[in-house]
Amino acid sequence: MRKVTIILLSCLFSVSFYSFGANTKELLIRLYPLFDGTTLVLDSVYCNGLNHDTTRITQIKFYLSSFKFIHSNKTVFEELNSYHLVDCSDETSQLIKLIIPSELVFDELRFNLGIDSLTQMKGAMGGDLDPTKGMYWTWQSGYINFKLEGNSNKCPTRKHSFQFHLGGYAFHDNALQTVQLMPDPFDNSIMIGFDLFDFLNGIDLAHQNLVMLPGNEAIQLSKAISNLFKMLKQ
Amino acid sequence: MMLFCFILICLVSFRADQTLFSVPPGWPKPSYALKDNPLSVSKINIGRSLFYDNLLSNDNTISCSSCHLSYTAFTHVDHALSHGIQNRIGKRNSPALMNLAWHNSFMWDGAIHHLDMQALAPIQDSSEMDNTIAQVVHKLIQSDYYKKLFQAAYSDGKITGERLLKCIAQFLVTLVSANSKYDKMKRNEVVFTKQEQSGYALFLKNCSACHTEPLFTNGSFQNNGLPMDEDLHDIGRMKITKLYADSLKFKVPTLRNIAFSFPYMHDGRFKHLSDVLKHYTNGIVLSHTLSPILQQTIKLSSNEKVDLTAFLLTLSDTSFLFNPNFAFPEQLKNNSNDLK
Repeated sequence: MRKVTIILLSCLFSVSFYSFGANTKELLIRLYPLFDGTTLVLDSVYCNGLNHDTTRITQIKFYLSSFKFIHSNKTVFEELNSYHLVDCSDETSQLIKLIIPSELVFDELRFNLGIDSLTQMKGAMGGDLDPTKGMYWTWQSGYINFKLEGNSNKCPTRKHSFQFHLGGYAFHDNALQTVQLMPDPFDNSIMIGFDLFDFLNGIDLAHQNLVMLPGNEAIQLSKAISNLFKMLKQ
Repeated sequence: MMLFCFILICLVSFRADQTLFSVPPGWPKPSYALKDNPLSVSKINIGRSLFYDNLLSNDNTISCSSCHLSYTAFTHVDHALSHGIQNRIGKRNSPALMNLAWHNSFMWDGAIHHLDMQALAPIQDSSEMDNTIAQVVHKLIQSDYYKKLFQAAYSDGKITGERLLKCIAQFLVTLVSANSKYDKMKRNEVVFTKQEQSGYALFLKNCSACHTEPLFTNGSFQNNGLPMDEDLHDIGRMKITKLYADSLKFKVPTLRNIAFSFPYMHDGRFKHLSDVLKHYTNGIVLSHTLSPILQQTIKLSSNEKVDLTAFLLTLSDTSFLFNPNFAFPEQLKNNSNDLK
C-alpha cells in the first residue's frame, strides 16, 4: 500500500512537473515528404528516371508512436500516450510538438513507425487512434501503420494505381518498425524528411503494387519505409 | 478530499456496473475489461439505439438487428447466409449474440479481437452495411436525437467513433443469457426430466469438450469435419492466421438458445438440430486439421439423439430472448429519421 502511495505521488508530481512547464521546453518535429529530393506535393505528376516514368502520389498517412529520447543507450525521456497520425494532406499533422525537460541530454531520438501490439489489443480509442481516421482495418482487427496510394505508369493495374496499406501485429505478421535518428539536442526543432522516390524506385512496381494484408510482404515494405526517415539539415 | 472523491466515484461506478451487468454464480471472470468502458444506463441506451438503427447502413435500410434479432437469439433465422443492403448476400451465417463479455475473439474466424471493434466489421463490409464509421459519426452529428443522447452520456456531448463503438459494446455486454432451465437446474430451482438428464449425460460425454459449460463454448477454433462448400471455399481461421494448421477451423459457437438460432454451422447448411446430430454421428469428413475430439466416431442411437435434443432445449432462455431491455427501443421509433 505504501509502495502504491509513493508511486501515485511520484506520478502526480511528474505530471504536474511537466504540465506546468517549470523546466520543460517545446520540441517541434517537422516531417517533410519528399520526392527525389524535392518537397512532395500530393496529386502532382512527377517525371523521373531514364525512362521518364510518371508517378503521382495521392495519399500518404502513417502513425508515428512511442517517441523516446536515448542517452548512452538508456531511455532518458519518453512521451506518454505517444500516438501521432501524420496525414500529408493536412499540414498541421506534419508538425509534432513534444514537451520535454529543458535540460534533457540525449544522443538519439527513437520512435516507432506504426502502432505497437499492446495498443493494438486494446478496445476502441480516441484522438488520432479513433477508427474514423480511416487507419483501422475492419475485416480484421488492427491499425494500418502506413498508407501510400498513387499511380505510376509502371503499374499494369486499373488506372495504373498502386496501394500500400501496411500493417499487422499478430502472429508472425508484426510490421512495426523502429526509427533511430541522431538530432542535435540543442535544437528546438527537428526536421525529418522521407523520400518516397527512394521507396518506389526500390521496388518492382510492375509486380508489387497492391499490398493490403498483413504478412511478409508488408513487413519487408515497412522496413524499407522506416529506412527513408532521415534528418534534414536546418 | 480528492482521494475521497476518487474512491466515491469508483464505488458508484462499481455499483452501477453491478446493477447493469453481473457475473452469474460459478461463471468465469469476463474477458471484457469493464474498467476501460464503465457501464452506464445512458451509454447502454445509445448502444441499444444504434444496434436497432438503420442509420448505420449506407442507404439507411438495415441495422445490426436485421441479422441479429433479439427474439431469435440475436441471429438471422431462416437465412443460411445473411443479407446486407440491396440484397447483397454475405459469406457466412450470422452468429447468435449472447454472453459476449466472456469472449476474446469474434466472428467465425476470430478476425476481430475486441468487442469494441466488432461493430466496425459489419458497418464497413460491402456485403453488409457498406458504410464507413466516419460517415456514421457524421450522420449522428446531424441527428437531434443522438445529440441529446450523447449530451446525456458525456459531459462534452461530443460524438466520436470511439464513443459510438464503446456504446454498442456496452449494449452487447449486457446481453447475458443465464436463466435457462439448465441454469435453473444448476441452481437447484428445478429438476431435469429423466430424458433431459440422460441427454445431459450424453452431452457431457460427447459434446462438452468444445461446447464447455457454462458458456457452452470453449472459444476455440475447430474443424468439425464439415465438407468444404464448393461455392464458398471458406478456409475459416486460416484466412486470419495464414497457417495451414488452421484450415477449415471455425469458432465453436455457443449452444445456448440453440433451438432459436437455426440454421446451424458457419454457412448455415443445417436447418434442423437433427441434421446437426446426424453430421456428428455419420457425416464427419476426415482431414489433417479435424478436431482430435472428432477423430473417434460419435455413436448415438435414435433414442439417445432424442434425449440429447431434449437437453439442448433446456438451454433456451426465454427471459433473455424476450427481455424488454434488449428489444427495439420505443424511443427510437419516435425519433428515427430526424436526420437533417
